[in-house]
Amino acid sequence: MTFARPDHISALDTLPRMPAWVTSARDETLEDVAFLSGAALNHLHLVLGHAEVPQALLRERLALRAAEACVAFSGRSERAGDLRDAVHLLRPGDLPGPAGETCLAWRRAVERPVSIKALGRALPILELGQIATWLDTGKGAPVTRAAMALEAVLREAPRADEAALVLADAALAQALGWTHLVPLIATGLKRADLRKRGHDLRLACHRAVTASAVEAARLAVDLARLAALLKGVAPKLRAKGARAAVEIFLTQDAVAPSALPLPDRAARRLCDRLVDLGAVSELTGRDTFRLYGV
Amino acid sequence: MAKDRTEPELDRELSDLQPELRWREWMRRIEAVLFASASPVPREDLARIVGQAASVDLLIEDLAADLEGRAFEITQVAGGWMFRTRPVYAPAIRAAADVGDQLLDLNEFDVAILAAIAYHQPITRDGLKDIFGKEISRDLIGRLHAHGLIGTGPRAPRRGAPYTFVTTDAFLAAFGMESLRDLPEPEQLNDAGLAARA
Repeated sequence: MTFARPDHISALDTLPRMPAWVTSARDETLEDVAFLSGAALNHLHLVLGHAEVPQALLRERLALRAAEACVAFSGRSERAGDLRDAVHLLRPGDLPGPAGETCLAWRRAVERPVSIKALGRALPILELGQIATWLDTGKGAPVTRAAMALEAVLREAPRADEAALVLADAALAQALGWTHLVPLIATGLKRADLRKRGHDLRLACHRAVTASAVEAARLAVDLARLAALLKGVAPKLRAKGARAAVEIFLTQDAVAPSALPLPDRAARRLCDRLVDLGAVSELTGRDTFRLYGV
Repeated sequence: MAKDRTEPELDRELSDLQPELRWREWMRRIEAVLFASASPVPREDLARIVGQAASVDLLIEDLAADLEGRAFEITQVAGGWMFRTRPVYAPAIRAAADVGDQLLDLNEFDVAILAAIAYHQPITRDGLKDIFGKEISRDLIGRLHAHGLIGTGPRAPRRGAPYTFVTTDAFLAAFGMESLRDLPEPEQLNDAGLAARA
């Protein structure tokens, strides 16, 4: 089926593009990596400022990547798909399991504006006072502050690397003046980086932020395009509750048809139709227990 | 508040005591709570019995230092703390006391199942069957459940949405682990020829 491309997609051309020198350079000195991470962050900052970018959706998707990275750091084998399943197939009263717990922690961390209380909700094993202290450890420029927070937690609680990464990204978001946490550090670090300290860790954080900010900006542009497409096809949907369903797709990483405000069958049909229209895709590749997302 | 308490509010700050005595009193309170509890006590609970500004971690550290040379120690398990006799005294305890009821009473196969769940969680009964090559009885799963070592996790995305099993905090406490990371690395098990499946 063909349909006219909605006009507002052309507005996306106004989204700034990441300059090629940020992505192509390979540099070793702290001065150079710091320069590049600054450039990448500034670019991401501009991209995130655009209204077309579905912020909540972007954060949730990055949170999933961060959770995937944390699960891998802890030596477990679950991938993004397993994490999605763990979260979406969890019934009230059941335990999420180790990977599901990590995924929930990241989702909670990005869900609400950064605050001690919100972080305490995401990381219930930590004392609120402790979170506040760690979050304020760093001084100086944003990435340095994040790296110092990361180091403080890793030094004082060597096993809490998940909490350390959440707090590092929270410190970064605060230093950048962002209201919400955008997972960048966790997604860019490697397992070996967590054993680094001081200068080396800072270097690793700069590299991680550069790589993740480039990737996040790309994802933001992609999601903005897909969100525009989804908004464009929304008027074609005649099912009752379709508007509310579209809103859900625009804010959540993955949606089970049963979570839509439609009767089961209508919800499944709506999802199929959206897939046909190319506005969402099926994420699991299964015939049953499907999950859909932009 | 779930309970309607008739006793007076606990004086957390103890502002009428000297700083040094106050600190000792807080340590003793933590000691008392841990002594009275059979399961790990989480940080929030301990924070409720000491002064607002006091660090639970530092108090625990001092208490642990006090217990140097005693037959028991404070261990951190599953996000909380508990008292535990030092492992060297296990034979003495077993010889002297009838602790059969308290022991988990797990046979080798139970423990193997438990280990498989720990490594592969969330895993269904079918998944366990694939690993062990035979049906895992509901009795066995039920026994692990009754001990609180496993709980039900997210449903598996398969026909009938079967339950998966995951390990609990009690599992960590029972095997003296602080988190699942204390499980031996799968590679280590392979090297030792213990793993049935990678």
